[in-house]
Amino acid sequence: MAEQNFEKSKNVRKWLITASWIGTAVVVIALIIVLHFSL
Amino acid sequence: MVFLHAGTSPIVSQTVMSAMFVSLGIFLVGMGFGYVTKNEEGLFQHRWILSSAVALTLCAIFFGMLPSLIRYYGDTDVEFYSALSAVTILHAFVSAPAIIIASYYVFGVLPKKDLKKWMRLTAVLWIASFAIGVFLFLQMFGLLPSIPSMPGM
Repeated sequence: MAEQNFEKSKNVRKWLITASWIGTAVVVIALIIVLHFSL
Repeated sequence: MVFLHAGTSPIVSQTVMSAMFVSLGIFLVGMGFGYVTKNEEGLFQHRWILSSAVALTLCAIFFGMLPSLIRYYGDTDVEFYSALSAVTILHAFVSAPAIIIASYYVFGVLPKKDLKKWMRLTAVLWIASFAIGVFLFLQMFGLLPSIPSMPGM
């Protein structure tokens, strides 16, 4: 049970980190595009 | 006030560079702990030392490097095919996997098999990133010897 819960929380962490990095990439690319066309 | 190519003030650039040298120092100590360690206690040291290097590096990236990147490529008359741009892109491509893999390790997500191989790969990526970063910094300040056949260098 404890082993299962540990694996579960590890998976949640893995997806949180992935989502954060994808989010960062999207924000950076969006900023570059917006600045590129508005300045 | 003098600004560099990306519109970032030299003070910010120099602060980022200094922070990254501190990070390199912490990284080398942490890597050393990982290399010589034979027990749990050593691994604990290894993990926390390198986590602090990752935290410091993330601060430098989000407060110094990403704003510069956005300002540089957000500029409508950016010199995309210049040597500075090429090294910037190379630095981003080598460093992004390095910092992303490292942030998985920080949160305790480790590969199930070939752990040592993955750790070594990450270490190589980090060292390469540091080296390209120093090169990029010198290039930004025009401190590299110029090559006549390469405009923009």
